[in-house]
Amino acid sequence: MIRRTLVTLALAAAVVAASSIAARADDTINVSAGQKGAWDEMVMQQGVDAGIFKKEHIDLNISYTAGGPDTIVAVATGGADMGFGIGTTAVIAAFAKGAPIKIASASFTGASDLFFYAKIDSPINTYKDITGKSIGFTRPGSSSFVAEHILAEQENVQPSYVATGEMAATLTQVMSGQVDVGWSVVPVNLDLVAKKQLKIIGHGSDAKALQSQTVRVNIANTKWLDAHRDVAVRFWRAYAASIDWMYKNPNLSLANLARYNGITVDEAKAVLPFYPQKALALYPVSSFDKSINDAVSFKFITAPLTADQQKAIFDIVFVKK
Amino acid sequence: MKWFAPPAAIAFIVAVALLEGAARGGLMPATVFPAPSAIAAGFGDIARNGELVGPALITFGEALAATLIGAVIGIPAGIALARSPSFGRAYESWLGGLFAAPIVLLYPLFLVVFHRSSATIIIMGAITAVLPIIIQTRTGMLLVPHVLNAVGRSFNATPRQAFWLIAFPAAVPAIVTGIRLALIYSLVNTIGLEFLIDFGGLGRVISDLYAQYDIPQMYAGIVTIVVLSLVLLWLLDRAERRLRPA
Repeated sequence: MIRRTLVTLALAAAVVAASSIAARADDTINVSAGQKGAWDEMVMQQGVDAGIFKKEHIDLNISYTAGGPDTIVAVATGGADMGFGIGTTAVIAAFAKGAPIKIASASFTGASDLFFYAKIDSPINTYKDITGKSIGFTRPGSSSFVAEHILAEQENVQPSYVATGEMAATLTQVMSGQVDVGWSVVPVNLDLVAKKQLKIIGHGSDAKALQSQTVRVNIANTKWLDAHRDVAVRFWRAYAASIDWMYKNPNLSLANLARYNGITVDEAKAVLPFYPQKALALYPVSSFDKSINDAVSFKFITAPLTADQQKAIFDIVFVKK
Repeated sequence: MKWFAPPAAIAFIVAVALLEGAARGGLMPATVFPAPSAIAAGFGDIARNGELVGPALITFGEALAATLIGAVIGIPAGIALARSPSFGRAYESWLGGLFAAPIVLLYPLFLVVFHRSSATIIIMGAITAVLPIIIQTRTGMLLVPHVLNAVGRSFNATPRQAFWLIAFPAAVPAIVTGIRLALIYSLVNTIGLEFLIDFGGLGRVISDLYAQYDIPQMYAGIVTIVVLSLVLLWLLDRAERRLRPA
């Protein structure tokens, strides 16, 4: 009798211990992303709000940076386990220079989220009108820089390029007449377009050569990825499910986006046409050879990645079926 | 140069050796904190690309211009505030508050007015520079020893003579301290603004190198700034010695 009681108690203790382990089994991942508020950069927050990551027992600690270089440094130093929405050329450069990072997935393919604008009273109406005019870009090698050069070649126009910096600084320079054309990523500045203070004169999606190129990728810290492959698989499964959820539940996801950005739902709705779901596909990382050529031509690296490096830079642990 | 006196030189060499050892031993991630030898090689790279001497001259030219404007406005303003006790007391806390304010955050406003140009950088630097010069000049003038003024009066010195031969020379150390602070703050302001608006000299270069993940070269740019700052401060020290009364 005593023996039976002891066995029962031991089994009960084991069940309680197992269930408590299961209850605290959420893995915390530190993630870092740029462009807070952009549709594609808010996938994780949308997934968290929809409870998708919780189902995979993943707890996300999301931080936002000023841009790709900051995100790369955060991941390379281990400050973040994974980084999101970083220019492919910048990642290629950092990897070639020894940063302990791997490309874990594509982030954005094409440049449909990018648009170019001028003041409403400007004589410029399309990208074809910008010969001899000035156009702003963030910095050499950025997606705005790449798209502008490809569009200029495509439309046979010769603007003068001015490094105007990030979006707020670019807007200031356009509105004060220092630069004729600015760049922006939706939803930023769409409110000024709606208020007829700005007009859109071209889209990143007009750049045909960029339509199939993965311009931004997501990265992981090499050491973290090696030690947490199971966690990474669960993370990417939840991430892919979050993207699906955003497009299957536009009313909810656009309401979230409006809340994240402090804009109206109607303003948020204007964002969606700029982000076809296929642009957010996590796989494949398309036209990678073109990105390598871009990295060389923009002097991010002095020579193309070797075949071994091209293989080693990827560590994709999850591909959605 | 006291910075290169034997104890300082030994401390510098030891620090460099420790950093080299830590980087080579894997104690620091070399891709983020490169070894000093890699940084030394980085100097060659950025010099070959023309990103060292020219940008350094631009940055220091802007910082010096800002400090000069700060001195031209700040020294007379400090003297005036010292001579007018009521104004001096009224503005003292304002000046202290402004000195502590992060004026660099106003750069979008200055971009609108002065555009993305050296003018924006110099004028913002001058605003940063003028404050310590005013504060230090006023303090220096107020702290002229009474005995010196008494000596001037005993020699029947005119107000002009008392100012140029007694009060101003006595205040020179404080004024130079203000100029030294102004130079440091305007240099920090200049480099920060160049980094922010991606324009100008070494701040822009460091921003570009950071974006391209050229970390040793980036540190080489930072070391250049430190070395040239030391040279500027040394020159200021020498100027102070020449101006200071024996």
